[in-house]
Order: sequence, then C-alpha cells, then structure tokens
Amino acid sequence: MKVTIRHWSGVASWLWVANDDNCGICRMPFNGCCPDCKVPGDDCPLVWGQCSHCFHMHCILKWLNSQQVQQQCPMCRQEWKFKE
Amino acid sequence: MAHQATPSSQKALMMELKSLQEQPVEGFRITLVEESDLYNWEVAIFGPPNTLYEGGYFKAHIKFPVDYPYSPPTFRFLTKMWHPNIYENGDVCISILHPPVDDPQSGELPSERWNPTQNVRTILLSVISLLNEPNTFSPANVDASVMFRKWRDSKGKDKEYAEIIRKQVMSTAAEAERDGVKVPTTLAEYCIQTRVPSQDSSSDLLYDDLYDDDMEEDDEEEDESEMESIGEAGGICAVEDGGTSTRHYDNQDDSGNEDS
Repeated sequence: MKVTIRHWSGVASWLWVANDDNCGICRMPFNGCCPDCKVPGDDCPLVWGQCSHCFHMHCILKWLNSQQVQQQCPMCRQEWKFKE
Repeated sequence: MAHQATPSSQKALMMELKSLQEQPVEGFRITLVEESDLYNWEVAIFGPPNTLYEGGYFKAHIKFPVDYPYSPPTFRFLTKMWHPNIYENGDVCISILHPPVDDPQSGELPSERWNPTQNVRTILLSVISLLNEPNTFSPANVDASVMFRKWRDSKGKDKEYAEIIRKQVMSTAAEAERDGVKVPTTLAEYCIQTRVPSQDSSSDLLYDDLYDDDMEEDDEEEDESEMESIGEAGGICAVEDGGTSTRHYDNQDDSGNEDS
C-alpha cells in the first residue's frame, strides 16, 4: 500500500515541572494559571524560591507586595529569595 | 483584572468548602450561612470527648475577606464561650488569624501569623486545640484566664472554671436538639461519625479524588512547618516535652540492646 501524505499538523503538549501539583497560595493546579489570568503558559509562569518552594509568579508577588515586614516563603517561612 | 471578574477568593473558597464537606475535620460540620454567599460559613463544633467540652455543640461563623487567602478570615463563636482566648462577642483570638504586621506589642511573632497557605482546615485544628489548651500569655478574656490558671494550678481543686464550662456545655443540648443533631460523646463516635465515606469509582470523580488527596498532603506539610516555627519561637512546654520523651526512648533503646 502506498500512502501519500498531503497535509499534517504538529501537536505538542507541555507541562510545568514543579515539585507539587498545586500552587499553595491560590490552590489552583500549576499546569493551569493563577486565578487572575485566563491562559496558562509563559504569561503566567512559575517561580521558585531558594527554599525550593514554588508558586505562580503572580500569586507570590501579590503576597510579597502586601508584606510590610520581612518577606517570607508562605510555606516554610524562611526569608524569600528568588532562585535564579 | 476587570471589575466584573469573579474574585479569585471565590474559587479558593469553593474548593475548600468542597474538600471540607467530602473529608471533614473530626468534630466539625461546615455549611454556608446562606446558599448564595460563599464568604459566610457556619461551623458546628462537637466538644472533644474526655475533655471539659465533651457533649457540647457549639456554633460559629467564619467570615472571609474578598482578598482571601491573602488576608485571614474572622472566626466568631455564636455560642457563649467562657475561654481565655475568646472575646465577649465570641471573636477568637489566635495568632494565625492575625495578618503579619510588625507589632512588637502583641507578643506574636510574624512567623506565627496568617499567610496565604493557611486554610480553613488549619484554622479548625487551631481552634479545637485552643479550646482545651488556652494561651494565657495574651488573654482576650482576662477573668476567664485568671480562673483557668487557678483551675489548672490547683489541678482541678478550684472548680469554678470547670463548672462554668460544663454549665455552658449542658446548655448547648437544646440547640443540638433543635438542629436534630446527636452529639458524639465517645472517641469512637467522634472519629467515625464525622468521616464521610465517598468511595465512588466513577471516572468523573477520579480527578476530584486525586485532587483531594493532594490537598491533604499539603495540609500535613503546613502543619509540620507550623510546628517547627512554634518550636523555633521558643514554645517552652513543647521543647521540654520533646526532651523528656526523647530520653525515655533512649533508655528503652539502651535496655533493649543490653537484653539482646
């Protein structure tokens, strides 16, 4: 049998590789987006702290910006520093 | 963030409510005050057996702010409570319900305060442990605190505190009857009756089940970190207990080794 391919479409899937399934702040899945965004992906990225805890960037920034005192990881309460 | 957009708190609350109704915290029943309002919860609390609160049926309201979980909810008892850490109006005073502002007067470290990974589950656990273990260092009801200390320090000889609590517990029976609730009085009832089996294997629910498991794990992690931070903050009692129990274990281990 001889098959002629006339047309094809590429499909790819992606996942965030995080150490948890859900963001501890908004409790939404990491592979979804934070509650303020509509589409998951690069526009709603994940960020890690040096303590290795991970959150939606929008969620952790919202929390850190609301803090007048020392900025801590909400999970382990160590000082929050972004992991490069 | 448009104006009409549903606040993110709504999603978070909906998920927490569902999780707490499917896998309740022992001794707690959660409902909404009004079906249409996710921001007002009614909590029914069963007094833990083998404590002063055994047989009690207490009601409370939890009110959530629109920016939950970035800000903490309030927890207010509707049932009259005589307790060192509960105000006259029923408001519960615990550090995890306070936002982490810098306030050296309060005696609470920022590390013991609210943060967005706290949730209703951790609050309920704090409240139930607070009932029988008041914190007399920052009392909300000074008279109750003094009376509690007399009761505790006299090892129960000074009965005034215990009698007031038992009287309050007894008076909750009418409310339980009105609600058609049988209050558990043994540990077995307390633990089993509040566990709702939801063994539905239909594929639609599979994802939900997995999801709830994840939530559970999260909670456990939080509890651990909370305990650690309390330890760091110098909870004298906890440290002492830890020390003695470790020594006990060591002794047991040693004797075991000698025997064999």
